[in-house]
Amino acid sequence: MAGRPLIEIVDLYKSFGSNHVLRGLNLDIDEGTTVVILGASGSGKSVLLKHIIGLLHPDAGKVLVDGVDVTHLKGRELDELREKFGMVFQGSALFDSMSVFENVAFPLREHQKHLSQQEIHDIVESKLRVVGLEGVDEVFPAELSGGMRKRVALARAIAREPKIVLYDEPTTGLDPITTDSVNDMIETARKELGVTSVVISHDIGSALRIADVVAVLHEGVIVERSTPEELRHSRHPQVRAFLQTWFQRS
Amino acid sequence: MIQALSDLGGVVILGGGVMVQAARPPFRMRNFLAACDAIGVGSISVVVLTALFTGAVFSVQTNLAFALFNAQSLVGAAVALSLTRELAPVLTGLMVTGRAGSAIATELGSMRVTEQIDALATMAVNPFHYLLVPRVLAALVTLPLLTMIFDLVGLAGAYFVAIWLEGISEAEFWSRVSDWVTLEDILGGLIKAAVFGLIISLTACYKGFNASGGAKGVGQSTTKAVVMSSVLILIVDYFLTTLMMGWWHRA
Repeated sequence: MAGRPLIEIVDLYKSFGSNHVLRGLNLDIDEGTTVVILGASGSGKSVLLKHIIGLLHPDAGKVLVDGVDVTHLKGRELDELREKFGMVFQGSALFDSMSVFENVAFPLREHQKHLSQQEIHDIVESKLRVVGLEGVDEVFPAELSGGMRKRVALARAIAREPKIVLYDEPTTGLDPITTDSVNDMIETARKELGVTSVVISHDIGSALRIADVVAVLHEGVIVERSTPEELRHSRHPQVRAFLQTWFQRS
Repeated sequence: MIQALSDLGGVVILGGGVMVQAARPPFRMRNFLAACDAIGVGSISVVVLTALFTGAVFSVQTNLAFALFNAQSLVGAAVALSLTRELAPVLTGLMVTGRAGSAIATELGSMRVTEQIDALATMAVNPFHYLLVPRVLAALVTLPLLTMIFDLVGLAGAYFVAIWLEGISEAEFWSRVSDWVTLEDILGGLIKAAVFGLIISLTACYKGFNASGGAKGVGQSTTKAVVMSSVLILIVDYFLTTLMMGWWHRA
């Protein structure tokens, strides 16, 4: 991929009290690619993701999105930048007081007030089709399975056609079949919408399947950045340990 | 003590943030009305019941005391003054804290721990503007209205007990009410109610918004919100009464 990366993370530091979570992390993410950030539980993956979208501010370092430093943005400037993003949270974070339709329509109603009810309806239906969900418009999130909630969350995340979709542990807690279908969904979103995907996960199987690039996070820094194929032959002890546990299980 | 001061500071800072956001368009009428329904309409039954029996028991007690001086004609006025100045706003505030304040803290706490509040922010929707402003404005508006209901129902409770059970004549009961109770007494009580509305909603929003630690954390936040709000209402009531005394005496 030529040109400047879409997302550049430069020397990022973040501590919570004496817990030094990020310790000078560097990572480039190219436009149109799917990057999976692998790391053990508590390694700071979610913290990194929250820095990319400006939910957390670093102690030092920069996060450049399209050349704009997220870490210095506030208020409306930050909101404008966030319009480039969609985010799928670990627990889906659907609004439980709203139906599936209202959840997906929410960002459209908030930001594209010129859209008619019919236009909103058409967009919502098309996004639900992309994630393979139809006929659940009036259902509430509590009535959906974990996998279906993830799909609705992605439909909501892509409702406004963002350039970047962030996935926080999309396959955690799902059975193998549902995990496969969520991986399909991530690949479909990328193919059909051309989005740049940043996935944080500790699921190596999914990472090897969906990633163009896998970045391994360990002790606050990226210790390996490679293609899935290269990762299989990595000599880094932490990566080897990660891979071994996965091969033993599968 | 340090935690209490820190919480108090947090509530004040959150209040500032809510004020700034409240000035920004759009005005979320739908959220505001939903919050009015939850805080105001939803609290009417508990306020009516509390008012009815508070007025009734106050009537019994004042009648007992005033009978010693053969001054039963003052029962109506004494009850009306106590209700409008103190009992109605304070008890309404405490009832709404228990019913609606806890609900706000629980709802926002659940939204926080399930990342729904973060989701709002990532969709470029300010959570203060979307969630907090409607609730705080709704409490500010509905608390005085609920207090008015408390005033009327409480006086009705006192009236029924005084006339039917204590044998006081209607003329005796009403004779001094209009002389003693002024518009300033009623307004003072309503101003207190509005302040209590702010305390209830801001405390509940602060505790709910900063909840952490799953279901247990949400439960703890709710408990803390109710305790903090109730104690603040009683403390602030003393200072408001002190401030208003001059105004009430002049009237």
